[in-house]
Amino acid sequence: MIPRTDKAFTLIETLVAISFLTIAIIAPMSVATQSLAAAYYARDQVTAFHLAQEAIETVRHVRDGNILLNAQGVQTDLHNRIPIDSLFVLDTRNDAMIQCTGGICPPLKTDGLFYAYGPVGTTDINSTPSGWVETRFTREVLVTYVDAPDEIRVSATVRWKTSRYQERSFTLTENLYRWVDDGT
Amino acid sequence: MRRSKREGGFTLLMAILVSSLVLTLGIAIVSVVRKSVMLSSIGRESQFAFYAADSGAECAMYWDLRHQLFSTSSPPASVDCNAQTVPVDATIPGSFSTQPSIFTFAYELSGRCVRLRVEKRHSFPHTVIHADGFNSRCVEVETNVRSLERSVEWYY
Repeated sequence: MIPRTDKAFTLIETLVAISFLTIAIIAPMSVATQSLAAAYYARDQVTAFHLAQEAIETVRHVRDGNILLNAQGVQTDLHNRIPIDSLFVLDTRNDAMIQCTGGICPPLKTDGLFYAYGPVGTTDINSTPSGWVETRFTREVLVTYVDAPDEIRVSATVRWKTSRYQERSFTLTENLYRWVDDGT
Repeated sequence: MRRSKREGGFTLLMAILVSSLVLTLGIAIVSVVRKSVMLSSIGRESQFAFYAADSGAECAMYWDLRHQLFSTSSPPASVDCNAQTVPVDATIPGSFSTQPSIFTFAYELSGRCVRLRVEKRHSFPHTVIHADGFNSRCVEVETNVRSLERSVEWYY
């Protein structure tokens, strides 16, 4: 039996314990949940900027390949094989640049090794071949003239879903110049 | 239930111990995640700065190779990059054989600053293009604490 003087003490003790539990358990729990979302965001952002870099470097690589052709005596337009003024997706393995229909590019797919739209040489970017799964990333490239015909701007936009409702995106741009006289 | 004097405050001690443990764990998670978010955004911003620098170097090389703009006898007053006409600051030394001629200019590419220095020399390398790209506007490069710089240098 509790003596008379101790009667209200258990109540205070319980209240203190409950408030402690609330602060000590629920606060770190919610912080951990938010941290998990932030960690996923950081992971996806690293993937996203590498994907954007890959796109820019692929376009640049095609342009540089055309410069080398000119150096070998084969007169080639430096912008040969690069679609201008039309949204496209690319496959870095074979430098394929495929235009998106209706101005909407499909999400990238992966076979666990590469980010592309299927095996090398795939031209149908909208369907998912077996062994490939859709990723959360969409990458689209737009090349426009800044100062025709010698200066182009390459913009690679990567979009990805961070949650069911939220979408993030950023655009990486580079200006490329026709610094070799290709006869155009 | 009657407690003995020795057991008094044990629950509180236990609660403090457990809560401080959980709190430490929480703080540790937050600090790790905070760093990874910072790393990923620095990585992204660094790309912006790098491609600004690379575009700048391309522009300087274009004007040099196609238009021989960086002439030491008739230095250019301005240059066109990214549809902007920007002034060129030329420093031509008295004796070209010993000192390089230096041309500097800066412009912005989608709000990212790029500063260029083109050097013309008598001996190899005859041209040095040095491009500093930033992830911020030209006016706030020195003041913005999140300003990030990437540079490229071309010799030919």
